[in-house]
Amino acid sequence: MKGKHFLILALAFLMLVPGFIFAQPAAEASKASTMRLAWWGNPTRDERTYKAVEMFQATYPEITIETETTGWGGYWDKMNTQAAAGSLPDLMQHDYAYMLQWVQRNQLADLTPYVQKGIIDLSKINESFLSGGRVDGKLYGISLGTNAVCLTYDPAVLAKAGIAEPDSTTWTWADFERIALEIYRKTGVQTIPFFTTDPKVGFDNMIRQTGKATYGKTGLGFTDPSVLREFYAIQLRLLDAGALIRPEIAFVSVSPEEGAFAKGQSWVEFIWSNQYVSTQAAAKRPLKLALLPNIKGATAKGTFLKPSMFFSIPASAENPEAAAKFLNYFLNDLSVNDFLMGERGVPIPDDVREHMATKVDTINKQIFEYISLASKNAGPIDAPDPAGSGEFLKMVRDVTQEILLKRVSLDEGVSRLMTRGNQILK
Amino acid sequence: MTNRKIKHLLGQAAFHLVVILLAYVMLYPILWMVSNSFKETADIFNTTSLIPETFRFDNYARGWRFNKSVTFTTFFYNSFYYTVLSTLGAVLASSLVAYGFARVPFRGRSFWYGCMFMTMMIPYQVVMVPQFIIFHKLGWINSFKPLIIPQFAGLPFFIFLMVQFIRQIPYELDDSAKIDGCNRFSVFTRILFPLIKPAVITSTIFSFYWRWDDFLGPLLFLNKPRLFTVSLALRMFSDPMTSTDWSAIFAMGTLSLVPVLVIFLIFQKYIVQGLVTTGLKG
Amino acid sequence: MKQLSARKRAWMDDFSGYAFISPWLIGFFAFSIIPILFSLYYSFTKYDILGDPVFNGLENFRTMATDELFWQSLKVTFFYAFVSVPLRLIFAFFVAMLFNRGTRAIRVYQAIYYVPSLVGGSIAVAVMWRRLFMADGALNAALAKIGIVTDVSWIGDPNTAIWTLIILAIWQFGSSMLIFLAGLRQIPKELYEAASIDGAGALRKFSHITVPQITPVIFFNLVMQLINGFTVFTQAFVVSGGSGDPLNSTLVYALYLYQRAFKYYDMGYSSAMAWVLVLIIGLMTGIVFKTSSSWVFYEAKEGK
Repeated sequence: MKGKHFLILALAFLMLVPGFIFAQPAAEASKASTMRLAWWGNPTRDERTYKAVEMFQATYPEITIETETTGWGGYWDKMNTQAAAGSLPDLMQHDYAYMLQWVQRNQLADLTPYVQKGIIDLSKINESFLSGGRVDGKLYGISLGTNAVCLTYDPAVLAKAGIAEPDSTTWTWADFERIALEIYRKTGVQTIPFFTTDPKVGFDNMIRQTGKATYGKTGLGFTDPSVLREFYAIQLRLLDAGALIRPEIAFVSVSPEEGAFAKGQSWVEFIWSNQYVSTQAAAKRPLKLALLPNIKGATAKGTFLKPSMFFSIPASAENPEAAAKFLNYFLNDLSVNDFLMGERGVPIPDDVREHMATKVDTINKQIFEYISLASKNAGPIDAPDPAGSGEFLKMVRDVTQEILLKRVSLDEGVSRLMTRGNQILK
Repeated sequence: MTNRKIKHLLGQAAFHLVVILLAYVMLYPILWMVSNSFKETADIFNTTSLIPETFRFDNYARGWRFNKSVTFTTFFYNSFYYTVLSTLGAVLASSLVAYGFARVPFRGRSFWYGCMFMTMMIPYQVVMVPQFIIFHKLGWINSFKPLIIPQFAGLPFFIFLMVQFIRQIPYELDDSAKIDGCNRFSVFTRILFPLIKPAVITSTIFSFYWRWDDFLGPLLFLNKPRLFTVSLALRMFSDPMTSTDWSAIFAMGTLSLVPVLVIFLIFQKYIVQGLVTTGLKG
Repeated sequence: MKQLSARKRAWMDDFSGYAFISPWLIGFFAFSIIPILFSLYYSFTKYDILGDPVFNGLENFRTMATDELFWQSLKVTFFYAFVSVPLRLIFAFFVAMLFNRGTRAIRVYQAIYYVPSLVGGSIAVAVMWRRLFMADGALNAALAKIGIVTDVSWIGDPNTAIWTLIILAIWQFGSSMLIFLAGLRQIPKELYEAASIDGAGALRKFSHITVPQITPVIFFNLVMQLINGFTVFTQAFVVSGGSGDPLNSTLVYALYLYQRAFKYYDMGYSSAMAWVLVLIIGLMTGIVFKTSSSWVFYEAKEGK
């Protein structure tokens, strides 16, 4: 009768265990000065952020911070679900791609009152760094670091091909094409398709140079397809010459270490400046940063300064004032930033940035210098991504592959992109 | 040696050869992962050999340490807590429910059985938001309650599996037990439950593995990193913006395989043992 | 034994039936029914998660009819399910038959063949799969060794990418194999012994004993694998990085559904998609169930 005894025991366990779980100590009673902080990251960022939290709590002992962190994959699933349930944290990391939608749905709090009350000190911050977080003049997020689009290249390959390094403020796409072809002919090193993860970033830069923007008030912000066409035409010409890495290889989503650039198959890679650290680490050789080339007859600047990520206070936050205090501390305190080391991007307060520029390692110094270069050659940031942008970006990626795989003709692809774009973004 | 014996031995050898060859192919991806856990991150993507050039054991130490504030000690503990409790609840409850569906002719049985099936066909993505809201209203968020307690309702997969196995057992056994004075419950505990051991063991193995690997549940319901499970921690290593410590990921990934494999090995022999059929066919 | 009236017995049966299924029933009412009803409601609304749902009738379903990606995801999923499920089951059954002995060597093999199932959808699998199937990956290297030189990017080419997904499904056949093993082990040995005495050969034993006895397990595996095949998500997410790439050739239904809900903030449409899926799967499992009475052989006679 061993079976019977075992079963009775098991069933008893079945009854008792839920009770056991319920008997666990209840969640800490929320004091008026507890706040929840959420961010996405990785172990390095986590370590540094914990240090920042520690230092903050030492300075403001009456505030306790509960930290919540996940990787990038899953962060938005979680935040969106919490938003639906009204259980968002007090301070959360946010992204330019989603900010507008959250603001339109009243999920984020306006930070202006905290600035006016002096809790958040923006005095040393240039307005151009703040405009990315503004919607209708109100401030919904404060940038944690500045980012700008760039390309990084391997100077050794250029040297091997006997090509002089270009002046990235004046070079044109024609120069780029010429260099790419020559490199291929002389060294066999190819060129990777432009911005395989998000092709829109590439042609957006070119469209901006004509004074227009990708997104308009409704639909697309441009009607003339010629610049968009050229974006693809260059790549097709390189592809036909054998100088472009095949799309079947280039568009597979890989981490930097697995990518063609790290393996030395491409002499150039298109990235955002705060991806430089990981790109360089994966490439394991000295690299340089450059602005994207100019188009013929450019009338405006294509590059712009983009917030790498924000801190925002959800509208449903239970303790927004504590969140604002932490935000201010995180942003402005010099000793905290010594630990953060610009890991989230180039800091925006002028004094912090100058201070950090002397302390960071060589790789990060390159980024600081690049941002400095970019800010002298940048135009104003465009309005945040509208609703439907998620679908638009996916469509762009699909059409890009169709064009490069030669499944559709260049003109058909371009017109498809524009027609569908206008449909999706209405 | 006789001809027959030679043929037999050759047949055996061929059998083992083919099986081993196929096993190598099947295991290759995993061998690659294990070997990566001993390599330097640089070597992982550059070399194709399975043997590391330099054996690095610090990948394990680094991975385990994670971000210093919470380490894999905590993660493993949480994973075990979640997995073991859930498995106990899921398997036992499922067996009870399966018995009810398979053996007891009650009104509405087919209807509820159909409902159970329907719940299996609905993708989690669409129920996850309303479910989250329910748990939020109950105040269960940031604890293991939403993860473990629903397991005590049984899992349709296991219920269905056990129903199939129960229906393999002739009613004569039930009847003779009832003649001996058993009620339905003791028929279950004394006769049926022991007889569906292979199904119970299989369910245990599956439940352990599914709970161990569960990512979305812990992601949504656990906020404090010191509650996180191994499955969650493994995905926190990489962020598209920074360089990823691949060797540490593979080291921890390899370690994460160990408990699930051990559970399988422990329970495997019960399945292989098979059914002890004393006096089934009178 | 006490003679109970038929009515009383029926009532007692009802009581004990519900008592036994009470864990499931309670859980169903507490945690499942409300979210399910909500998701049904959402399918008739426009709901972007951040705001409130707005009723819009059959709009979602109308959009579905003209949504290219919807039909693409349906096509991909049907192809995936109808190719991977039979292959996986046949493989699992064949290997289970092969390993249906108790020797220690066999147990080791069983464990080895099961290990791939344990890796599931971890991040390691994503990297592994790319390592195998990229243009400069292990597969092409192995093919080169036996003289087939190719630089096809299996995982990046829209024509071949779905096969890497199917191979992933088959590679993880261990779980189905395990269930077949359990079922095979439950066939009473006496049946085989009696057949031997009657002079039956291996083939006859297989077709007259093994197959009929194992039909309930085949039935189970078939239904479960069909459901899993149509709801596959993790593997596709892992292999394509969540994008359904290349060119939506790996965009399985559940992946597209997830994208619409959490990337495009269109939960209403996703819920509508979910219910269409329930109908499709329900129909197919219904057919399998209906036909099961003619080919599934249960030992126990029903109706007591």
